[in-house]
Amino acid sequence: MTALILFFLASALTFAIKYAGIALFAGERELSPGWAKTLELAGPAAMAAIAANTLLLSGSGFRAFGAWHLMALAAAAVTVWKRDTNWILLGGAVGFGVFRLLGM
Amino acid sequence: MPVTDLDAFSLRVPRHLRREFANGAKEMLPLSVGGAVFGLAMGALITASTTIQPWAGAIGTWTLNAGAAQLALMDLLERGAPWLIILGTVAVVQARFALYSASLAPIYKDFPRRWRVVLAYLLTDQAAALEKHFTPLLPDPVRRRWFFLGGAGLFTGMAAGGVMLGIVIGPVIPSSWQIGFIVPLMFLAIILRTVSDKPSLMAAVIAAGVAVVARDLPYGSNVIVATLAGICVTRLIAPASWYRGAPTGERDEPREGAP
Repeated sequence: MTALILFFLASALTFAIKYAGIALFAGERELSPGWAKTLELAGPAAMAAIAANTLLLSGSGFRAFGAWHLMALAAAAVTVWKRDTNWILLGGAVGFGVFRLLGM
Repeated sequence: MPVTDLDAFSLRVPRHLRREFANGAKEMLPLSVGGAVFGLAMGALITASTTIQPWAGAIGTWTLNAGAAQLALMDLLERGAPWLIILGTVAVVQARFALYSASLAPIYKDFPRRWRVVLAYLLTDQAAALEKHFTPLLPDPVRRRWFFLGGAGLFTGMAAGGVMLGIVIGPVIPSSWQIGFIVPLMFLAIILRTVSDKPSLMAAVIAAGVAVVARDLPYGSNVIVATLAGICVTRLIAPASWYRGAPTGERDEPREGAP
């Protein structure tokens, strides 16, 4: 139940963010270039922070080098070949499976 | 109204609008397949969670309709972070949608409010990109909104459907498979796919570095601190010429990214 309440709060917050621009800028008003630049950085910064947190850290320390790190390298290698979210996911997942099978 | 304009299922929706709905769905289909795969992994992750009941995860998926934010929420909840930190992180992850909706506001302004509300709920990175792309081809606002509904609705339906399927098949996945690897992988996939300009790259690198350095901060607050550091430091030191649309500062269109 706790998680569901948290989901509802996050949903309300997310909807408010999604609707804010539509409500505020439907007229002549425009988003300033400064705010546009700042908002554009929010996604990459937040996602990189979460990715680093989950990939490199385990508990309060560093994650031991192994399949998780190699999976990230495999995903990056796929990106060089094909810059597509689905291919990157597939490459990373297959890479992780192979590295785990190899005992890493 | 001519007979040919009547809807086969409802007399209230003319056929030409149903066709626009189908056209929108057809254009979104390739991206929706990716959303379904993303959802499948998310569903499996929900079943592996110790803090989220599958039914709560299923309901939350439909109400939230935001893959990256849901991943962040689930990860921080699993780590025992306080709600304020979790909601703050969700807000930061979702901040880009304020930019998308501001850029879509002139396109939505001719729609009735109930349509704006529904389309705002259905807004995703993919839907924003589709709507910006097809707006010049759909000058009629009525046809346009049905096209948008078809595209955005299909994407949300397939992504959430993938989550439901993942919740069903998730329990058969052995714990030794360490399904948690999906969290960083999904975020990496989004970052590697979408970060293409210098300011975004700089913000991502700084945020990743600070998240690791600040790992001892309490309540999982290193993520939100790192995010704010990435944004603020980049805004302070990145030259204006690095931004897309420079030197005018004009906004670019939303890019394809996460569900």
